[in-house]
Amino acid sequence: MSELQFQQAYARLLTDTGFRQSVFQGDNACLKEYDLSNEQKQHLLQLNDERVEIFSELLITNRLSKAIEGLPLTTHLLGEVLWSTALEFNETCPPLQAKKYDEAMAFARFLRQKLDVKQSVNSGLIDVLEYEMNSLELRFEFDGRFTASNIENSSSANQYLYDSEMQSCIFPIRLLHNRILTFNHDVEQISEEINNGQTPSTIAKKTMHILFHVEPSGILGQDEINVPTMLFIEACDGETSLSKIIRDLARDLEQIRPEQFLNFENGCLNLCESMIERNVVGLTLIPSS
Amino acid sequence: MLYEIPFLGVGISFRQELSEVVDDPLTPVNFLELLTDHYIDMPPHKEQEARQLAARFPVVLHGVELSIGTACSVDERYLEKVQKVADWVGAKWISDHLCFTRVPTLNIGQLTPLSFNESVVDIVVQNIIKVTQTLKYPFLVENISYYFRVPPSTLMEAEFITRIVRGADCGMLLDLTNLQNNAINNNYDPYEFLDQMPLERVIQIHLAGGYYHRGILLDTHSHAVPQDVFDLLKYVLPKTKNLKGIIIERDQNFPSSQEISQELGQVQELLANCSLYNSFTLSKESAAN
Repeated sequence: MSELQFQQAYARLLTDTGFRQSVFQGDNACLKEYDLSNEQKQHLLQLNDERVEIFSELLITNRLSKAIEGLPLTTHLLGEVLWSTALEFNETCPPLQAKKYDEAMAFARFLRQKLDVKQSVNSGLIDVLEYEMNSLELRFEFDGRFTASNIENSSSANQYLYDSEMQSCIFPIRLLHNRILTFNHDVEQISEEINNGQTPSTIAKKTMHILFHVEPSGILGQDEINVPTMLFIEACDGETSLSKIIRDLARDLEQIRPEQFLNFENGCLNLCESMIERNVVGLTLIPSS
Repeated sequence: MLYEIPFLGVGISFRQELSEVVDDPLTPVNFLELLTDHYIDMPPHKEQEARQLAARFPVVLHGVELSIGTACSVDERYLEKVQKVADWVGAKWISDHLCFTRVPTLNIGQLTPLSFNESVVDIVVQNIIKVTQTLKYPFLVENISYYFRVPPSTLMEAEFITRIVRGADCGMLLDLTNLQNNAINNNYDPYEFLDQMPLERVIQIHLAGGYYHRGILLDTHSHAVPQDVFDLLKYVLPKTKNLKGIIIERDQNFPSSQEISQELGQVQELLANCSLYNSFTLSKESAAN
């Protein structure tokens, strides 16, 4: 019969439509878990139901606005079903965290479960959702610690990047806070159209690989990359030397003729340099193993 | 400690969307209010942003997640995080709302009204004492907008607030827009309310504009400050002998520098016409010094 128990019942009444309806209809059974006194139960019944309803609707609007801010493309594509989806989200996922990021991710996870991946009509929306979820996670989980410049001996290793005699002594390591995602739809075009105020009537199919990366400043960047670039980044395990990575990739991609290999090697070195600038890869003189 | 702080002048509650307004040398901003929760558990560039703003302006912090009215002890981990942000910016004071936003099982995500009674007074006073003992910065509590009274409310709101700020010996952030909204939504006279308030404890004033939704005037910080709120400001200024600053809040529908300047100018004019403050009308440069 404490004030806290009353507040817990009151908070649930504001956030749970079904519970609120039960309470205002005088259903005492729904209040059992809160162990309220009869007086406290009466106090809940004395709340102005019309004003409480308006406040509760504002709570849902508030939750939705956080989802929209975090997932602008996804919520735009939901269109006419956005509000009903928000209502369902509110009933299914009680609010546990107030921060915009947490609410946006909670909505995203709810939507991901709800969308049936087998229905092709949803597949474009699922790609957009994945695109935005990953962007959001990377932006907000970046803590500035593991950057290319923080790696032991990185400044020494970096100066050997274009030194063919030292490339067997430097070990590229893929850093945290970057992800490579493969999409089946042109998510960048979708983003552009929505940002220009259009609603895409169809979502074009296109296989694309996007590298998301967070710069030391915390700014999120993204680049569409090809398969060789993806393979290079994935090969940077901190245990394999740069020269071996290049040789192995050249073999796998059949770039083994001398003139091919020379071009390929230069391409890899330039790629490595740009990945260091993007805080995707760092170099060290000490292998991880 | 609170009463020794120099008069800061007029300012705005900082949002990214208002960066140009703040940077505009013609906008008469003397100090800034930062939303504490925009800088807690955020990527490193947000700390940089806070420090850079504090290097240019005196800064106060304003939070929404303290939940001072929850009938359990305040979250000490959250207080540590608030302290950290306050230390970054050398906050002149820290404020939060006289409400609750969460209980152990739910986060309502919105400023939610408390019951106005002795029991809640005791809970809030104890929580504020804990906050002031922990934070080592002056602390203010703000009156919120509410659309319904929460039973059992045996005290009137003015008495409720008075008992809390005197019992906890803290300052008050008087939100005149919330007062005006509450007076309209709950049918009482805002001037009578002000006459009952411990105005000697008012350290800061908030001003904002909202709109009507389903017959209720909402506290949305989305419009210009209405004239009836400026009238309240004119009325209360001669009675607030310890006032240190006035902030205009805007969270959406962001205005131009010109519009904000006009509003700030109106506030400065009222200060200039008030004998208590007319010697303190500040330029941007003198406030920064």
